[in-house]
Amino acid sequence: MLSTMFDRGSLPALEAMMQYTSARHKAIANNIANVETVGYKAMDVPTAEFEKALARAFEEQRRSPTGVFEMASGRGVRPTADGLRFRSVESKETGILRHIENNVDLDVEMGKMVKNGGLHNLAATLLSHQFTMMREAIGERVIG
Amino acid sequence: MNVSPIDISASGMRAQRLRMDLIANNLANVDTTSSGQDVRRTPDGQTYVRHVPYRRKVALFTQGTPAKGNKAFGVSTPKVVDDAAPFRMEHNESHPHAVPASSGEKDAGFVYFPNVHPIVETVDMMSAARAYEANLTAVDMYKSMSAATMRLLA
Repeated sequence: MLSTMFDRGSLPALEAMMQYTSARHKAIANNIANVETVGYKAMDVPTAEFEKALARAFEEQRRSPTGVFEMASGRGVRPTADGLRFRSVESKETGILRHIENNVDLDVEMGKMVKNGGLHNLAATLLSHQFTMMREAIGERVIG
Repeated sequence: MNVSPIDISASGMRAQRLRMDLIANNLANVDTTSSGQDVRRTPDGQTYVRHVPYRRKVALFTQGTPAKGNKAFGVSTPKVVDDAAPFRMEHNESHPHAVPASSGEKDAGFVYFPNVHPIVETVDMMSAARAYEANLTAVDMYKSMSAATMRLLA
C-alpha cells in the first residue's frame, strides 16, 4: 500500500482507537437493548486482544525505519480494507440472580459505555490536534 | 451487519415502550371481570353463561430482528402472550358476573378476577422505565461520540 503522511505518527493509532470504541459502543448498546431478553448473554469486543495488537503495532512502528504504523491481524482483531473488524465475545458471567438466564448487568454496561465514550472523545480531540498541527505546517502559520 | 447503534438502542426503546403499554393495559383492566363469555350446559340441559375475566398480557423479547434472525444486533418483540397464572376468586353471589347458582358447579357463587397484581405491575413498570432511560443514555452517548468525530471535519 502507498505510504502517506497519514500512516505515520499517532494518526493511525488514534484511528484504530476510534474504530475500536465505535465497535465497542455497538456491543454495549446491544447489551442494553437486550437487558430483559430471556437467555441473552452479554457481548463485547475482545478488549485485551485489541490492546495487545495495539501494543505490538507500536513496537513495530518504533523499530520500523519509515515509522509506518500498521495493525497486524491478531486473535479477534482483523484489519480489512474498510477498517478494523472485531470478533464478538460472550461474557462468562453467570448472572445467577436472574431467573431469565440473562447475565447483562445494567450498571456495568453503563459504566463501560461512559468510559468508552470518553475514550472515543479523547481520541477525536487528539486527532483534531494532529490535523491542526498538519495544517499549521502546511500553511506555515499558527492556527487559532 | 452494518447497523447503526442508534437503531440498536431504538429497538430497545421500542421494546420497553411496548412493555409499558402492556403494563398500562394490565393495570387498567385490574378489575375487569368479563372480557369474554363462555356459554355452557348443565348436566340437565340448561345453558348458563360463565364470564371469563381479563388475562394479564406479557411481551416476549428475543435477540435480533425478525428479518435477520438471532445473530443480528438489537431486540425484537415478536409476540404478546397471555399469562397462564390462575385467576383470583372471590365469593360474591350478587355479582352479575358470578358463576350462577343454577349451574350446579363447584365454584357457583364465585366471581373470577384477572390474574393481574398491581404490585408486580408497578415493579415491572419501574424496570421498564429504567431500561428505557438506559437505552436513551446510550443514544445520547452515541450522539456525543459522533459529534466528536464530525468535529474532525471542521
